[in-house]
Amino acid sequence: MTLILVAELEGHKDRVWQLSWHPSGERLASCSGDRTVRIWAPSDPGLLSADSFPEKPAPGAWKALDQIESTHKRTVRSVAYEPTTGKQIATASFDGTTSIWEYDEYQGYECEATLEGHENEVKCVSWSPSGQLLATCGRDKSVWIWEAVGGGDFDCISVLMEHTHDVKFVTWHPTEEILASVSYDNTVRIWKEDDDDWYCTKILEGHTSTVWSADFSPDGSYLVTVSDDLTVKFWKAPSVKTSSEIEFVPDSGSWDLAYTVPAQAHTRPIYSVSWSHHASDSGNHGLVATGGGDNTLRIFKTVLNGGRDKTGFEATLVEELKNAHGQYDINCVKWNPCQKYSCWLATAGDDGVVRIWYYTA
Amino acid sequence: MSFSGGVRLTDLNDFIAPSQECIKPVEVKKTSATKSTVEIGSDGGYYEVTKEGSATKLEEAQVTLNDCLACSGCVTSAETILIAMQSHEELISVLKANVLAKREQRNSDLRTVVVTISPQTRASIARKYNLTTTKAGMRLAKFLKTAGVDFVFDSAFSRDLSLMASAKEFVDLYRNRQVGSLSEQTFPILSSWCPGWICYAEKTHPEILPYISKVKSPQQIMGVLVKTYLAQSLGCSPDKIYHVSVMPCYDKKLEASRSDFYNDMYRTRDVDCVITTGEIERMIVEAGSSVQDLDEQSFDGQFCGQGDLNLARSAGSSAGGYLEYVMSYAASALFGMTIPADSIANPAGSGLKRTLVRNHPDHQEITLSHPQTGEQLLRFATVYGFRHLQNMVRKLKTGRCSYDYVEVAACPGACGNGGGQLRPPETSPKSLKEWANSVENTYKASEPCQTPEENLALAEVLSNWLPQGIDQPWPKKVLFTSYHAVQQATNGLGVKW
Repeated sequence: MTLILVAELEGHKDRVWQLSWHPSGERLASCSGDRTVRIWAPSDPGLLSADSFPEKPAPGAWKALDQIESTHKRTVRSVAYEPTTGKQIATASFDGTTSIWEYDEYQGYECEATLEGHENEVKCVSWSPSGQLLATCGRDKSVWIWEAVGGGDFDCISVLMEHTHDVKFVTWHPTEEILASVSYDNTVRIWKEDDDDWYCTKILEGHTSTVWSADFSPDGSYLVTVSDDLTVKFWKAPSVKTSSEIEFVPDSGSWDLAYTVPAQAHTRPIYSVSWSHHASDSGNHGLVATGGGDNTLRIFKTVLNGGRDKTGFEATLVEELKNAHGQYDINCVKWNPCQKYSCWLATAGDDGVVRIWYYTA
Repeated sequence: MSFSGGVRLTDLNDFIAPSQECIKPVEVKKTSATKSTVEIGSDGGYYEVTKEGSATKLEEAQVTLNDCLACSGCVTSAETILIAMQSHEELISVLKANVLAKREQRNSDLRTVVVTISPQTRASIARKYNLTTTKAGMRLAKFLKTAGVDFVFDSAFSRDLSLMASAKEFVDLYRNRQVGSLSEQTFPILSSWCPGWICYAEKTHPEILPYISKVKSPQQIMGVLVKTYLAQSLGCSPDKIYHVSVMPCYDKKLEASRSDFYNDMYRTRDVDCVITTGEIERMIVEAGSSVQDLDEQSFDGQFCGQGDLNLARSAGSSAGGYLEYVMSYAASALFGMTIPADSIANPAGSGLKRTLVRNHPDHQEITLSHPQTGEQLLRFATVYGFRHLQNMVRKLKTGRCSYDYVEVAACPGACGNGGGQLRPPETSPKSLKEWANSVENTYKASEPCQTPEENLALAEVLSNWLPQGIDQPWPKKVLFTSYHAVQQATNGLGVKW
């Protein structure tokens, strides 16, 4: 057994939607239909550096640190730690708003700003790696980009209305100011700024049903997307050595589809995907975890060069765990973003539980 | 069809998704009081069949654009409704009906056809065909007149009246604020002529409706002029005039369809049909002609600029020059300062300052300070494009919007860049932007600037039409309008995770 369940975090009173690791990798935030955000951490910080664990999860190995009794009027669908310091947390809710929370020693988490604008349910919030930009998306088919203006507040700098349906998820490129959005319209769109305006530079077509989630490889050279069509697709990003090398001409040859884990990668819609932060050597390109409606957690090993695909890219299934959240859907899978903790994986499900896993190859 | 961002975001351009259906209750008038059944006839129509066996064809239920505007449910495939009501085909069919009526000597069926062309439309045509805006307008006039249109007017004419009413409204409110007699928060005053912005505000931010100027847009003021003043001078009833406006914007079709601009007595709208710049170009092409080959003809003088100038423009951007004129008028009326409107576009000295907010041309601040004391007297802003509009609304709601007046447009770059304008051959984001800039420059380089007071034709119309001045109760009714919050119906069934 290479996938070890280390902790089961109970407390949410409704399904858990999404997870976000603190940039230190030593805390985890979860958001839920119960309208709260909970912050979790190992009781003993040394735990994260351990490499052997009891067979059964030890009660109290992880604990609830804090809780944001959010003022959101409906489900908190998405949560994101500010990625440079982790001092702020962004939450996106079905009540149509996005909130920015900052930790105060005496008051706990306080709402610094509420970003209104989406017409209805906000589905996802994502912080750019610099912490300067925030992207949100939702049922109103739009993607909004916000810029930090100090004091915890943000100005809207763009409203992108090119998706033809519900936008499910947004995520930023790890090194460039490039945003990917995925939608119920079956497409993935890549956005970039030029001369103070944001443009769709590429539409990735290939999925035949709703695209639920996406993640960039840690070096930004690939994007992985998962869909209702039961496939996992890998797209080759244009060279990102320097930003001047990226030519974002619409419909240019970049962003080729590199590899598809064929249908039946899962037997039901795949809701979440996460690319691990393992140090990649020449061939090994890290691990990709997926989870979804078939209650199964899967881990794929990605390899370059040796693969059968023309780009040399291949993903092979290395781990499969049925009923990772019992008979419940898996809504989110998230690898720890710190290289030294790259074996840690967190998952969240409709059972209202957050699970912490340790994976060794 | 491309509505502005505000309209698109409020779902107006939405199609019925498989799970959603129109929730608008349709009233069916029963023809018989007794029990009857509904059957489908051999022609596919629905018939109400009474017990006695007599069948009456039932009217087809129709959802109009106006039903959709008043509803917060889906908005059907709004495009098909728009195409039925507001298209150049509609104009062509009216012209054809006139020809037929003339031939058959049915004079009572003849309708006077009036077309009002916006200056932004002329700028777009001029840019594409490398003409001056005046020539572009005169070619459109020639084309329309040849097609059977009776009058061609310039909407810059009615805009002058809209500008005057806006300036007067601002100064009145400002004075009321000074003496503390405003019952509710009304500042900043937000301009009202952009229908995309109005639609967005009504559907999503009803609490900011009190801030919006109540002055009608140039299109709707022209609508009143045509259907009252012109109708009177022609000695006909308003429904005998078919009034079309040519606009840079699809949202203008929604504006014309508002029930506020419908005359119940004569069952007619102030503006019967709105076509966009792109649609009039298509109309020319479909007629087997081209803008290059058209001859030129003057606009009709009743509602156009003055004398030989014929066409004139107001100082300011393609948004229409509201900010400039309101500030110029207010500086004079409130502080006794002479600040010409065209000096506000490019201020040099005299206490005026124009700054780009965070270096963006679509959000500018224009302040007027006392030349001696340096005290800030007026603080105005332009807010173009959904992004800036959005930030303004957020600031307004949290009480951090300290402007006195804001010129609001839903489109980036304002109306020269409206969704109904002609597109450049290249459609990369960069060329679209350059094109929009060059249309704006064409607009600004068009006819000489003129203030509303210098519009002699307008002065003449006003002396006949509104001799008592523009702040009397009756003119308020024709120059002002009101806004209506749209109740949001939350439909739990529509939620998709």
